[in-house]
This record gives sequence, C-alpha cells and structure tokens, in this order.
Amino acid sequence: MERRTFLKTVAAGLGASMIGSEALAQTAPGSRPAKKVVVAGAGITGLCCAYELMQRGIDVTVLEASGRYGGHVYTGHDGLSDGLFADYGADHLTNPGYEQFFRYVDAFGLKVVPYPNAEGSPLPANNGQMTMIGGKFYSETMLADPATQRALGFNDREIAFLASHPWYELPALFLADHLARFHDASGPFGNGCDDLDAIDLDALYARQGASQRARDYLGGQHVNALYGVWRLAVMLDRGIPLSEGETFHLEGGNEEMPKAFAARLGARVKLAHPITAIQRDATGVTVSYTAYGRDEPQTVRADYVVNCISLPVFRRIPVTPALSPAKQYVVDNLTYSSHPFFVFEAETKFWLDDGFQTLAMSFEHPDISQIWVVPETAKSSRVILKAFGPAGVSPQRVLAAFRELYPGKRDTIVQALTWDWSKDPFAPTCEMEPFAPGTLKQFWPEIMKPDGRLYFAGTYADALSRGMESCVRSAARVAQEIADA
Amino acid sequence: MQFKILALSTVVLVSSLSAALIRAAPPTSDPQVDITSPADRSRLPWQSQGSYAVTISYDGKSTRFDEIPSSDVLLATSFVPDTDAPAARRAAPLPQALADITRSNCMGCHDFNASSGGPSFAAIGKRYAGQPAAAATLAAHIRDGSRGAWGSGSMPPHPDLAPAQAGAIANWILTHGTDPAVRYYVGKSGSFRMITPGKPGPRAGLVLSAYYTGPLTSGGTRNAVGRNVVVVMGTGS
Ligand code: HEC
Repeated sequence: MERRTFLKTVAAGLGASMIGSEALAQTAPGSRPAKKVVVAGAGITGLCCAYELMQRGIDVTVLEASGRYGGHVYTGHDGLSDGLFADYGADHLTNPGYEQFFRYVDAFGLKVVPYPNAEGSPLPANNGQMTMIGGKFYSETMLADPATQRALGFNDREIAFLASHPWYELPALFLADHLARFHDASGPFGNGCDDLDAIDLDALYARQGASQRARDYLGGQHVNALYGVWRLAVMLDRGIPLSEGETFHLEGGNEEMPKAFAARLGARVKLAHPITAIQRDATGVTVSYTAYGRDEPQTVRADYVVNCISLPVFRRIPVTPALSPAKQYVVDNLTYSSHPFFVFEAETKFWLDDGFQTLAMSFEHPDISQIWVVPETAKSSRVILKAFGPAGVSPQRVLAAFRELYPGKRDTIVQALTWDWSKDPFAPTCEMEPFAPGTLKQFWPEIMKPDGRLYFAGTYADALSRGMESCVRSAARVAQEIADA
Repeated sequence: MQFKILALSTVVLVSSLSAALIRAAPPTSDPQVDITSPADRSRLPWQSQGSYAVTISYDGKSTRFDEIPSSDVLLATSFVPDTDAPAARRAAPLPQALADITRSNCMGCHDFNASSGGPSFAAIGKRYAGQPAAAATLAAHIRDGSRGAWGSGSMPPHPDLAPAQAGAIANWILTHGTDPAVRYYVGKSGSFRMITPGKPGPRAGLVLSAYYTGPLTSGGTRNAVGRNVVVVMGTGS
C-alpha cells in the first residue's frame, strides 16, 4: 500500500466528522434558510448521522418506528442479577479498526473496557483457548505444533508458514499477490483482480494451493472472491491486522453510544413514529408517518431523507416515484446476517477449578459454536458468558449443548437467556453478508449512492462493512454529502 | 336537571342493553378482514409502489390493539389481465403451507421476493427448479436446519413442523415461489409493487387479497368476511 493512498483513504473516512464544532450549529441571520433533513431510523447510524447533521447547522428530525432507539445496539439487563447486563446486538469494538467510533468515545467522555477473546477473537493469545476439531479439543500450543498441523491435513507450504504465523494470518499466504495489486482500495474494481468477481473465495484459495484443511478453516464458500480480497486490502489500508485487532466494549454496555447521541439530539428524535411513505419531487421530499397510538398519518417536508433503516425493513415503506432499478436491486438483494447471542449467568468462574485460564472455546455442535467470557459489567462476583448458536434455538438447548461438550467437571451456570432478533419487527438484521459471486458489479458503487434526495447510510454503506465503525463512518459521510449538496 | 339525569340513565340503559345484545349474538367463526387502503378500483402506475393497510378482527381480538400480531396478516397481489372479469374478484383460498410459513418464524429471516437474513423463497424456488429430489431435500432442511447451501448464515431446525407440513411448504416454495404474477407481503401495513409478468393490456391490474393466518378457534374457518379483496388498476406501461 502506498502511503499516499493510505492517507487519502483515511482522510475520506474520518475527515467527515464534525464532533464538538457547536459554532456551526446556528445559521447566520440573512443567510439561506437551514436545510431540513429527515433521518429514517434511530439505530446507531441514524443517531450518528443526525448528530453530524446537527453539528453542521442542519435542521434534522429522526423518525424511529420502535419505542426505543439504538436498534441492533442493545444492552439488556432483564433476567440478570446484581445489575449485570449483556449486549445482545453489537458486541465489541476493535483497536485498530474503530477510529471514527473512538473519536465519539473521547468526545462524549465514554470509557472503554478491554474485552479479551470477544466473539471468538484470537486475541490475546493466552493459551487458554480451546478449539474443537473433528470432535477433539486442541489448545493453542497443540495447534502450533507442526505434527498436529500435518495430522490435520495442512500441506508443507502451510506448515512452513504456520511456523512463524498464527492460523488467522493464513489468508496472507494465499492472497499476497492479489493484495499487492490493490493500489486503490477505495473500490474493488480496476485493481487487476476484476476477474475474481466470478468465483468464490474458497475457489481462489484452492487455486492458490490451499489444502482442504486450510479451506475448511478459512471458509469462503459463496463469498465473492473479489469482495474478499478487496476487504483485506481495505483492512491493510486502515491498518487493521488479520487478527482483527484487540477487542473492547463500552463501560456500561455498548448502548452507551446511542444514548450519548440521543442525549445530544434531544427532542429531534421521535420514537414510535413509523414512516409510512416517502414521496420525492424536484424540490424536496414529503415523509408520511404516524405518531404512537394514532392512525391518522402526518407529514413532514424536508430537503433530504437519509435512510438509516436496514434494507429488509426499509423496503416495506413505499417510495414514490419508485427507486431507480439499480438502487432497487441493492435494496432487494443485499443479504444480512441475523444471529442471536446466548447469555449465561454463572455464580463463579467455574473453569478456573478445571485448570482453564479462561473460558474461550469453539465447538462443532449444531446448537453451539463458541463461548467466551464477558468482562465484569457490574460489581458482582457472578459472571456473564456469551455463546454463539443458531437463531430460533432456545437458550436451554444451547446450554444443554455446552454442558455436553464442556471438558471440565461442572459449571455453575444458573441462567440462560437470549434475544431473538428474528422476531424484532424493526431491527431484525445485523450486518450485511458478503456479496455472492458474480454480483459485485450490481452492488458497487451503487450501494453507496443516493437515489435523488434519498441518501443511504448503514453498516453496508462503507468500503469496509465492519460493525458499528461502518455505521458511524457512513453516517458522517452522508452528513457531509448533504451539507455539500 | 331532573330530566338530564333521566336521559343519562336511559343512555346507560340502552348501551348496556346493546352490550348484552352484542354478547348474546352468536360468535362469528370467520375472521373479519378489511383492506382499508388502497381504495378499490384505485389506479397506480405499473412498476410503482403503493401502500396497503389491513385490519383484522377475530375471536374478540383485533390487529388495532396488537391482540392479533401484525405478522398474522398476509397480503397477496396477483396480476390479472382484465380487472373487470368477475374472476378477478375472487380470493383464492389460502394454502395451508402459506399459513404455516407465516405462523412459524420463517418470515423473521426470509421474504418472498427479496433477500433478508436468508435467501428469498423466489431465489430458492429458482435454484432448485426442475430438480425432482429438491422437494424432499428442502423439506428435510426445513425440519433439520441448513447451513452452507447459500452463505455463512444458518437456518435453525423446525422440529415443530410435521414432515407432511414441511413437505407441503417445500412444494409450495418450489411451485409458487417463482410465480412472476403473484407477490406476497406479511404485516398489517406496508408497501406493494405494481408488477407485471409481461406487457400489460389496458384493463390489466392487480388483485389484492388479505388473509388472516393466525390460529383458529375450534369451529373457526379462514373464510374471511369483509372487504378482503380489492382491485388496483395499472396505468402506463
Ligand atoms: C433465523 C433465520 C431463519 C429462519 C427463522 C428460517 N430460515 Fe430458512 N434459511 C435461513 C438461512 C440463513 C438459510 C440459508 C442456509 C444455508 O445456506 O444452508 C435458509 C435456507 C432456507 C431454505 C433453502 C435450503 C436449501 O437447502 O437450499 C429453505 C427452503 C428455507 N430456508 C425455508 C424456511 C422455512 C420454511 C422457514 C420457517 C419454517 C425458515 N426457513 C426459517 C434462515 C432462516
């Protein structure tokens, strides 16, 4: 990566924010009347975008369908003792990788807490992690042993590489040539890799000589190979390592960030005000909505609308005239992930009695794939564990699977909870799934573009879709685009 | 003063009488389904989006107060070449498979014609079209869960669905999921699209039929009463 390109990309991502520049919040007398913007949705993207618009002196109203703001950033207390809590949506921040987010953390005086091994993060490597492969548990030491690697089916080249690299750096072994070609990571095309749009990442790894074991570990089936390579190029560009960085969460839960935005926006955020229609014309946009408990639709007129609602929910709102066919394709075809977290409350750190330094395990069971510990969230001797399992499965079933697999003597878990996002009418989805092979041309760059006076922000609307950071980056980008329009 | 009090008590009397009468009326076993918008015989340009709203009351419960959840409302839009033909006014009976799809948790992750947490039913129907073994495979995947067929997401198992129900759902997805003339929408309000499978004639339009998909009381039927069918005429081309 050339340093110049790197700086350009960083500037494009971060220069947009106007944190704390209150001076701009008033319009000088005699100047053009302030622009008026309706932000659709008070998830973290909508709140951040509204905040950035407000900082630019723009008259903004946020219309949120649900009775709470924050969307998929949700810190839940119900069912837990001692004031403990758990994030059921956005789980963690990374460093590096959350530069824009950390600027808000600093500006709002929030605190971050280290959250090691979050969501299966390999960091810190502390030799407490256990990985199940073929029904057997492996420690980090075992996985680093060439004899184990050979027995698992890695080839000579991979074993040589793994002698000085952790497993998670394997993509670098296979994709180094492709990454070297990416001179401009601001978009996927034109970097000499365009032909990769046709195949999936798994096929590319196979083509580059990866063993079946490496391919199983790396995944990549159904993932557009050009998208996969480009994603790594952007990460390189932004200084994010293949480990994805150290993991953290906000003290008090990640919902502290939506709360901080909402506190500054005040009455500009209207809860339980679902949008029922969006009508555009040459001079502006008319947004229809209903207020809580009332049937008669009301309207508000604005210069621009920013859609910060996830696309499967947004497409329930009629837009007239209809979106362009290119935009409609994006709205109808972007696939999202939607997975729940399972939260266990334990009375003690029971794994210490079994000789494990930490509880950070991955499994092959259909009902549970991962478990890890949440750092202390309240003054309590109890601990919160989080597990990954499929949506629609009951927490008790996930707990039963854990108990079947846990290699220690016993656990002290007394509570198992979840939040079923697939039943949430307004925020059912999490992040976008990688694009499928052969579809990148239809998505990029259309996914970032406004459609007339209707702008789009969200975790998908950034060159690197990656948790809350892409939410706030896209939000600040759109705010700046509207200020410049 | 005296008179006023009298009048008031008459009102009370009458209203309690009518309340008693209402209670005495035999319970209707058909859901009351009303498409409150769009208006019947309204016009919308082809390819545009319209908004719809449906109210349902059944068994003393109503969508208005969320006693009937919004997810128990299904709207089907079908293209008809001639909106004046009497057949255009007839709502097709709701296939049991569709009722099962909307009553289970499928719609939390799937949509009929667009992607969300999982692939659209149209995309699934398209991928497996013409494959004789597909129905059995899909039925098994619905019951046992599925991963790796489409992406990194996984579908939970549905042991609550009987094999015959899962089979009927799989068949429905394969045969109707890709019908270009029909679209389905879940929820008591939302948007619908003025879609045409081919070039529409001057009398062409969409028939909107709304259904209650929730649980039935004993003796209840899905035969709706009320304005559960409206016709929207297409304009332009
Ligand atoms: C929690 C989300 C979720 C729920 C709930 C869900 N699905 Fe799925 N479904 C998915 C995902 C994700 C896939 C893709 C799975 C894969 O790649 O193998 C999928 C795939 C499918 C497939 C295609 C399987 C294949 O072999 O290609 C069918 C058919 C299907 N779902 C039907 C249903 C039905 C019917 C229901 C309700 C009874 C349902 N789904 C509920 C997420 C869900």
